[in-house]
Amino acid sequence: MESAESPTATPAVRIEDLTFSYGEARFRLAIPDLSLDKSSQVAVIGPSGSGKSTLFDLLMGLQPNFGGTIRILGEDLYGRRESARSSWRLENIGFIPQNFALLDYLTVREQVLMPGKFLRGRDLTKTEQKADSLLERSGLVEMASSYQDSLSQGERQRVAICRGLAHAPRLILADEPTGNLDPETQRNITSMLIDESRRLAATLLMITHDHSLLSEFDQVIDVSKWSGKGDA
Amino acid sequence: MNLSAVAFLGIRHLKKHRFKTALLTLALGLVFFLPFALRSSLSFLETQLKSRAALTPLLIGAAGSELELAFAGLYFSAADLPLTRYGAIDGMDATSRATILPTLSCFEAQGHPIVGTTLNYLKHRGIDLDAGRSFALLGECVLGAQVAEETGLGVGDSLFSSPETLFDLTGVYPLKMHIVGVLEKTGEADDRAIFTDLKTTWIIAGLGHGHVEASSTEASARLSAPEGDEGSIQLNASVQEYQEITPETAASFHFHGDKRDYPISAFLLFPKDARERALTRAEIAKDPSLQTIVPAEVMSTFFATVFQLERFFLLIFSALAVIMLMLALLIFRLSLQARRDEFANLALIGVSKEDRIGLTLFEGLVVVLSGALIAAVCLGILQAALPLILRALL
Repeated sequence: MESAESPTATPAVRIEDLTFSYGEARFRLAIPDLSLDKSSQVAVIGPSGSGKSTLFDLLMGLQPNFGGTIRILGEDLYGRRESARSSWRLENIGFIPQNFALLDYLTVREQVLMPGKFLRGRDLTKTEQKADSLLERSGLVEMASSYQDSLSQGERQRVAICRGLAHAPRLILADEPTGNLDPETQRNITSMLIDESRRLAATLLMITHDHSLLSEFDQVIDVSKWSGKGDA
Repeated sequence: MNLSAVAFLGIRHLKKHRFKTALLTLALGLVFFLPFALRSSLSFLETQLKSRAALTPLLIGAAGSELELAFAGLYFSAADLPLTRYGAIDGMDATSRATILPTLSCFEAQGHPIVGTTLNYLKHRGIDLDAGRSFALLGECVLGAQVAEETGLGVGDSLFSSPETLFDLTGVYPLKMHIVGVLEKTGEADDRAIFTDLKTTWIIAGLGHGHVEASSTEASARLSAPEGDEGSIQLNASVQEYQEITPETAASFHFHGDKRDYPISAFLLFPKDARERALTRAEIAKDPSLQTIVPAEVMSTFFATVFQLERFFLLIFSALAVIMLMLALLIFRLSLQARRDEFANLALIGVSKEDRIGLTLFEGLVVVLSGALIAAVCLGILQAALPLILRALL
């Protein structure tokens, strides 16, 4: 279905008249119109507290109380029940959190395979092949049987990236994956993410504070222009 | 719910935290095991004790504890049991209203009770010989099947009675007994006993003995004859007493005193009918130094007390179970709190709420079922070992 479709026929993300607020400080996020092309690599920037992570939560279907419409890969995610949203998210979105979110009781290979195991009707052998090739390209093959406590920060981040990609998602959301890494590792990780998302023909949204990396992306969106505090 | 994925994560998590899991599982296993173990053990004990008790209608012994008499008569345990006299029921014996089997079971050999009785005992209990013949002469014995198995002794071998005696702690030597037969296995207390003639046990008790002829002793073994009785010979302690009864020494064995005063642990009585049984009990009741018990009734009374205790223990176990369950729930809750971030991350990845709840339930279920499995295995082992435990206890 994907191959028959023109990359730009349906946007990967389409937001119209979005309004969202929360907390005592009445944090507000208002996006009148946002459209991100499929297979594009997008950097999301903005100061801390400007709503970058909130935007990701909205895109993942985790914040149902908002105004306007959000369509992800052409789907009205919030039109589904919570359990269906979870399934859809698992199937279509690869999330790479800032804190890696690795499970201490899984080996590197098991971490990478884990989302695929929860997918129904998916050929696990293909996921395993995909996982193994990702581990190889990430230089993690030697550590496939290791647990996270024996890995460096950079290695953990690469494991988290592999986990986010192994089940071949169509949208990759990377929440500041290079935040705590040294500049060289930051660049390597960013390159890896961009390469792998291109390989998958997936749309990549990556939060970053490092403006030196922005040239690597097709598009940059600054969330701060849509957010603010206090009553509107 | 994706059960295979949930099981995958659950098992990995339990495996990683195996010490905590094992501890919780064992504790739950113990909580499951204890009440069932108690019930199972008591049920087995009750069946075993009552079935043997039912085979012996009446027991007569010295007045005292009914339970001690029952255990002495049925299981040959003789700790602190007051003994009665061989002649205590002489009159009754003559009336032939019951089959009477006297037993004296206060001696041991290699940790097994020596039961002095009559040949009728084995016949009445229906115990056949597996090898050899039954005891016929003084100093001969037959071994219960388990005694033969544990000691490795058989027909043609011999064994010594333990040196302690009831009446003379310093002067009586152990008796070397000749094994002339081994009994068939019965699965009862008889397997664990050494049977011999009543007279042989009286010799062990020091009431009968054999020694060299007084007239053939050397002068050094003689004491000075009392004045006015110069014709008699009195011997001192240097005279050799026989420790073994052989065809050559058998003739020298003799008993002192009145045989009717010789000790008996218990008389096993098998009255001919209910009337004779009632008459026997009435007759024995006249003698305050004696008591008659119906072993089945004594065991029933015993178990009524035991079951009251069981209820008490079950109450304690129930309280323990509730405490354990509360602790398990607390541990579970704390574990969930500690894993809050993990579950949040799973949610972000796309693991559904159902799967996350399923993961929690799966881990709990594995621990509970493992605990139940451990309890079941232990219960199986206990049930297999119960005959051995009972054997060691009685």
